[in-house]
Amino acid sequence: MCKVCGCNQAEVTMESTHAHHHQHLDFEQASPEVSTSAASTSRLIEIEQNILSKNNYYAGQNRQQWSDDKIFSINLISSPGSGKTTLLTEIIKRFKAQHCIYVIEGDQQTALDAARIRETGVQALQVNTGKGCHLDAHMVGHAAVHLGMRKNAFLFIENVGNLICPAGFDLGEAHKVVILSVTEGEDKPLKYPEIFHAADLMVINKIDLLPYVNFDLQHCCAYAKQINPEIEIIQLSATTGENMEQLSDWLIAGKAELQSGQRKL
Amino acid sequence: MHELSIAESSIELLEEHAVTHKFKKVTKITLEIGVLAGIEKSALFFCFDAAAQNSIAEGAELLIEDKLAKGICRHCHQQVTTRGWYEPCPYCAQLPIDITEGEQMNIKSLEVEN
Repeated sequence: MCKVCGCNQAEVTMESTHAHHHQHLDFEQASPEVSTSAASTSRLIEIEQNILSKNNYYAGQNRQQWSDDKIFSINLISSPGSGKTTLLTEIIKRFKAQHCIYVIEGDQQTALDAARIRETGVQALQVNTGKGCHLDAHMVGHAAVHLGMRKNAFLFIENVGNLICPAGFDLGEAHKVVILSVTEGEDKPLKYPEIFHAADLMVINKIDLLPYVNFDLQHCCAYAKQINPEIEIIQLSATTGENMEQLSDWLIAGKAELQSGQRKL
Repeated sequence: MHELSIAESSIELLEEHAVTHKFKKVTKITLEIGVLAGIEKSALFFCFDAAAQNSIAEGAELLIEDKLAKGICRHCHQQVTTRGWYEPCPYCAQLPIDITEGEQMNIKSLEVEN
């Protein structure tokens, strides 16, 4: 049971105790075409309904809201330990003087990451998914309402560390960004194709460690392009700052496109 | 284990259909899952049984129909069927194929009792 509004969201908890802002979105689903056969007690009902229709409905609501408010939203996805939170804190340090930034942190347990983000001085909210292995659009919609975001902001959503499950769950974000670090295998794009296919940008992190590991950058990029020819790739080190300006530029350009109305979410 | 979410979402939709279509028990549910949907069938079977406990679908038989993926080869522009994200075109052996279908996960039909 969701602890924010009592809606049916098993095992999800969210930090913060302030008043309930939630405007519960009644799920208006178009009645699917239904045909019923046989008049006995047993009958067949044909439904043809997307199992994720509810998630997709909430994602659509989020996307509309963020589009109206010119909020540029990024869904960060990676394995545990790829350096997502470090990357995020480094981006925040570079952006916070000029931009309004909000962060939603997803983890199974603990509010440690949100605390790390708040140390940088921006507003962050932790969502604990309990047994859940991914954030969904409904949880994120709640969290966004709790954050009370101002317009023209950046919203970074740090998904649960997992390359598999978050791929299928649209949150309403402008872009999915997948992060891979050089301490992992360069063949991850082939092993976990769904997420590399769904992402618009692949960040290869920890390139300062390249001399010490057996990671073939060229192969990694080729594998990612094989799964998703359109994917953009940035190689950087959040720790040393190398190439961080490329990611900053990518984010600023994306937000500018959203604000100028060139980009329809 | 997002298969658990998928199973729970399915049960939730069934509970809604039970109200709309006035039935009390689901005896069989047929799902249509694209081969690129990222669903591990054995995990979904396992999770479905767990998620169905104490619901109108408890004990229901789950059938999963695989749907092959479709796409258009970027080189020879033929429409092809495929099982993976990076299989070469069966006609010209080139990559990539722009996938047009294969990620779907739908509830196709239900057998129910009043």
